[in-house]
Amino acid sequence: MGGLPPGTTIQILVRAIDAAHNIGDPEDVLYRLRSTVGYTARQIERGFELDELRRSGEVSLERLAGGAAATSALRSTLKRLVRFVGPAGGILTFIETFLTGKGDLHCEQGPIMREGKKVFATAGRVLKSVGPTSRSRYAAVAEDVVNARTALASLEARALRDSYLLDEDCSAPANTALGVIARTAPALDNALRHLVSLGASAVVARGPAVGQHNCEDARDLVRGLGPGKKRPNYVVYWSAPPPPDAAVLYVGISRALDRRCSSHPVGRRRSLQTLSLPPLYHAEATSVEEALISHFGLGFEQSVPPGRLGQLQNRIHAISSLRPSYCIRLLVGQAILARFDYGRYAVAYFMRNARCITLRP
Amino acid sequence: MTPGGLRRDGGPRGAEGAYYATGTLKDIIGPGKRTVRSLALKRIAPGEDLGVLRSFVDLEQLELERVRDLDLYSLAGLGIEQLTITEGADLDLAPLADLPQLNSLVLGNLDNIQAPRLTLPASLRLLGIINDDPHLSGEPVKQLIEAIDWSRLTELRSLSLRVGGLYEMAPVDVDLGFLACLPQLERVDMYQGLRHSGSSNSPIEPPFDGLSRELSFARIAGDEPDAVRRALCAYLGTNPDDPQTAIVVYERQESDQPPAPAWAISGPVDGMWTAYGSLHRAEDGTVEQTEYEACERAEERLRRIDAALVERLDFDPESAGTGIMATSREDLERALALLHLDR
Repeated sequence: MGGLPPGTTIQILVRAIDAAHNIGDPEDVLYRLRSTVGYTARQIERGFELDELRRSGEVSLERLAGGAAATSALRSTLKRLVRFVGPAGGILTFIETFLTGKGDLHCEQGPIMREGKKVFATAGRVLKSVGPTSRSRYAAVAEDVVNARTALASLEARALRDSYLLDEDCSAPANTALGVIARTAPALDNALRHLVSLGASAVVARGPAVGQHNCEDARDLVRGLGPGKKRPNYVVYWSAPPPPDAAVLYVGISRALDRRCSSHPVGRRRSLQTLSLPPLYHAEATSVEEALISHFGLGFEQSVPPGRLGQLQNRIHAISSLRPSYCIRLLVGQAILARFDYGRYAVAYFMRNARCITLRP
Repeated sequence: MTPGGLRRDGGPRGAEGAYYATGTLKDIIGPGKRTVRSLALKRIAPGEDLGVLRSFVDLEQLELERVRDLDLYSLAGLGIEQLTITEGADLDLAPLADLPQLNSLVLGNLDNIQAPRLTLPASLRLLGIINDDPHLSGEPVKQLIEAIDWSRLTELRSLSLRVGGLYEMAPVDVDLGFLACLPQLERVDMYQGLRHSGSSNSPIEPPFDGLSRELSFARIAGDEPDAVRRALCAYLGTNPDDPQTAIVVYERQESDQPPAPAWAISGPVDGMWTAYGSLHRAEDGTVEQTEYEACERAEERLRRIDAALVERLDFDPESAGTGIMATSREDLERALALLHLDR
């Protein structure tokens, strides 16, 4: 009785028996077993279409532990099959539970293959696009990176579940996926840091910081920055300015600070001061505003980890945490703060239920 | 069992176990297979039964936003650790005493509450009671301060009490002597809208009789802020000249003048008339929506009615509100009228 080489497709008719001794539908199980047994490490790679990632230069498949595990798991599966079934052509009849995990009929690799194929291909394409990104395009590419990273995290959760729940034979593709994810996720995180830094450098290149202004000289500031929409003429302000940090009650942005001053109550108006940042576009100013809000916290908002309430009078965030772009926009704001000596405020404690990666490596 | 009506909170990168539901609880029969640790219920219809929450055995954080006339007795005995109720009205808060594991309670912008005597769990470590809405009064804050049995809250570490701040509101008169019951307080935030009415000295004025000496964060108000800050630092044994000493004394802002209404037109300054207010608030937005989105919607509404007018207006939004500017007062008045902001 010779062993079957890896990659051989075996057509087997199987009835699975679950813990309650129910006999499964043979046709249904036939499909699942075929998909399990048919995958070699190389087939798994092809199934995931990892070539895109390989071309991005970020992932070396030869080093993947999952790939090796897949081959070994496959050999083990085949050995067990041959021992129980014996070599034969055509249809084999076989009733056993060992491949179905004690009655678990979920030894099906199709979904994780399909999902992984999409996720890895996207990650590869996104990583390739990061290098040539210009300053003007960084935000869009960064959003692609965040989306790819999110999809990767979702795939990781699924692969971890499969790896944990399925037996060794069934979990080979999930283990391979985990190996790829372990290398791709840091690459995406680094790409995001690079892009965010690129965004902040666009602000740096724009010119000197505006300095710290208050309502008394707001009119001169506004005249100097010029009127009009869609121009870098926004400032970010807080009231009262630090030190100490505990003094900050309010943060806001404006491109008409002189008129904004007249809209605020006397106490806020007296202590209002701009942050010394270069003139910002609206989206950049909003990102900085959100970075400050997520650092200081809204008045009704509890921190993560819990233990304190936010210190601001502001009632709502500048950017909704439900937006897909929330994390990247927050990161851009934090990067701008960090570039202009406000790095201590580039740490978020109040993001409602969003969880974003941080700028710190 | 399906978790109908539940949505993941926090967007695509939301924290594990965080969900929300809006409008009704009728579609929700339990958490299903999900592990729900944090749940926000928003705009739940008056009178709906919160009893379904009993099947959420993993629930640690509950947030009720914009709720009215809900029977909080259904929460009794739940193992939640954090509870936040904001924009709530017509609520009996007595059942809050029956949350044995509660360590954090935030009550914000409440109206018409019942709390004749409130015995909060001794496990409470964080408490916030804030009303900051020009359409509300500080009365619920006063009512709660007087209803709470402070002697039980010896473990309390963080206390925020405030009337107004973002908006100008009339202060309330309360006896702040209860602070003497809170020896473990590390954070106190009471800088706005509370006037001491007790017979003894205010604990947040020199010589700070009864105030916790454990404070590492304090924000209060005084008539002579610098002198009060130095006195408080001396009381706490902290260095007033250290820029990171988190002891802040703001100048007391109390005025008998009625505050300027939102969307009051001012100017002209440099030929521009200005009105400022919150479009988010005007459209009754939730905490997940932003002023910027509300501003875009307002511009779009105006554009559909009078596109030429929009071209003559200038919108300058920030997270807390939007400035609308125009070179002619008539244009600004028309815009405010079309957006129903002139009422």
